[in-house]
Amino acid sequence: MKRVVLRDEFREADIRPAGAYHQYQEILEKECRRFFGGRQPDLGARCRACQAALYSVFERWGALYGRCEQCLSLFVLPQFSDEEARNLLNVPGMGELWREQIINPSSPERMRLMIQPRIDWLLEVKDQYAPQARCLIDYGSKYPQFLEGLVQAKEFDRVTSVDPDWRLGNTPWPDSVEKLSVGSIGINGTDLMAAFDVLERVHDPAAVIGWMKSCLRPGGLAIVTTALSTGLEYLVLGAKAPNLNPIERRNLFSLEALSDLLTRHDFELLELSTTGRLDVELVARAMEEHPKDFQRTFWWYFFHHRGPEALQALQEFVQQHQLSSHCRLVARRLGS
Amino acid sequence: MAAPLKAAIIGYGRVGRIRAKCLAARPQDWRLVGVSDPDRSQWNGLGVTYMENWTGLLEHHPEALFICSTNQAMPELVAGALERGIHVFCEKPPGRTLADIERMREAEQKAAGVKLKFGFNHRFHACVQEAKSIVDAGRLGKVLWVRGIYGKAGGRHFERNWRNKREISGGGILIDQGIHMLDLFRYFCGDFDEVKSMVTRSYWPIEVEDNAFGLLRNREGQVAMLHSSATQWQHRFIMDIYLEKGYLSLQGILSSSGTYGREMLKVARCHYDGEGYPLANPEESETYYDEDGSWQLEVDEFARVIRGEQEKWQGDSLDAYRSMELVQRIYASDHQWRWSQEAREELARVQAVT
Repeated sequence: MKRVVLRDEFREADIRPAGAYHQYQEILEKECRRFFGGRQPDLGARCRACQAALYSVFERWGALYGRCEQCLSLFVLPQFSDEEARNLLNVPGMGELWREQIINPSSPERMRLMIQPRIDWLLEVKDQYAPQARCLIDYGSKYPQFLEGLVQAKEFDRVTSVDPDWRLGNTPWPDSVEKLSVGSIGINGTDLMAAFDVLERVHDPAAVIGWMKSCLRPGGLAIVTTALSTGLEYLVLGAKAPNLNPIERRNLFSLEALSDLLTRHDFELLELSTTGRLDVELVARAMEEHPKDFQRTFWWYFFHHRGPEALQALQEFVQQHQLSSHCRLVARRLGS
Repeated sequence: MAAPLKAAIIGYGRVGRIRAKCLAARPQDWRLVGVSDPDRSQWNGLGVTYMENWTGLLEHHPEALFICSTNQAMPELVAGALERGIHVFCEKPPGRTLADIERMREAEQKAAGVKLKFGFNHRFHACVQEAKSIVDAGRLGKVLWVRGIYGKAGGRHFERNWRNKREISGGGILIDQGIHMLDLFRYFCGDFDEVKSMVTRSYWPIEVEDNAFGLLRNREGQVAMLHSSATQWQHRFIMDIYLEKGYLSLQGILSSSGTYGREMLKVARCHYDGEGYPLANPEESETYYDEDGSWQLEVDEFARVIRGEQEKWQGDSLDAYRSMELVQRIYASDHQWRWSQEAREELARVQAVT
């Protein structure tokens, strides 16, 4: 199995304009506090990766995060359905704010730093492991440009988007990409399935992995990105992690748990990398915002007494050693 | 399911033992029936028949021979096995000279259906395979040039090593290690027609080269630059492949000695300014590999070839011939090199024949 390190100048402000994103988070926090306020956390819930017991670690926006005592994955308690999550996010103005003030202004940089690299990665994966692949499903699509880029590459006969992000609204859609729902996808027929940033925001991530397996033909590939509990950002910051929200980051697997989960579903891992490049920047920001929580720690000293070269080296180190909080993976479906 | 192929190994040093492990890892494909090695100290541990002389192995009716011996012994061993209808896997280099590889190819041509494969395991390293897949996909355009550095520090008693006795090895670091890089140049660019070189013995008290610098060009205009060294005090494997729309850099290679660093493939795609000029220093991705499966993949391929499941294979006798030809042309091209004249005479003889 291989792992990849990305070297570029990725900064959070490139893809999330600070003012609008702050406003988005404020609305989300308010809605979360309202939603979780009247609910009791289910402390008897089990880990969705390994079924071990959870213990509570911190509260965020009214929700409790429980950590698996065995695999270190993190889950929001109490659990809630995907429909409840969608209703919570579907407050007036939320979709417009997301589209018009966050996504659209950052579109060129998103294209350069996120979307085009994903297109390149997916085509590279196809070249290397599945050159004959002709059909692709993108589950939970967030970016029409991503689908458009794949269509323009002329490498697939069929590109299908399943359950695209509702916040896309009436965003123009590539003509040749069909939109379908989960239930309408046949079994054993797909060559490649992509699920970018999906596992962390669905009610039952193991069921999603099982569904992906059932859609893929034997030998087909799952291409996945997701947030990880074992990245620097979450291990150091916990509840103070700037982008942690209990709706869109309700399941944070540990690297090991994610790997085991895929293996148990008859996938062979071909690549498992933590290519997140924002950990150090986010930790630095959180320390500025919450100085009392970090003073006298090693991290405080490191971030305040070492220069930018050391911080850059740390970010490269966490990528190289699979300690960044965002991962990407390629897994091949085994069996017949 | 077909019965496992009966295999024997000639030469049970470091490489012979690696091949034995590969065979043991695939009991469905292979059964090791015997090993021969003149060094009796090697005779322990495997639980198979040991012979001082390889002909003794024939009593065990091997279907395939793995030849991991010294270079001068290869032509006779390879030809002898092929003449007996035994498939042969022969480690690089393919003998010492073009005459050696010619003899092996002649025996191959006479032994219809009997397979001959040479061990150029670097083609099977994960970083090389991934680089090949990226180049072949064509998304980065045509290869413009490649540059390879492959070197080691020599090592303890290097001056006494058989690899530096010309009568046994045929040459020095170039034929021993540099030939891997030449094989990779061919893997990515095809054959080269033009060769310029400088070959030196600059440090070690040996009769063969301890450094070779080669500049190669093919009919496509692709240029390859080689530095093969036995005075590379920090062990190094680097291969840069520059294409029209980006570049690949293979750095470090997992080896049995573990001294060439982590195996890594760097990939970058060009970005362009508003007028379409490429911008310097594009973003890079680095892929790290933790396991060396190259030896096993080579042996697995050989099993498929013997069983008729694969028609073409890496390291066939033409690959071996062409790489050896490049070695000899590098020797020949530097007129100051002490063995240059011999190499020129050999190349002239081959040209006269063909």
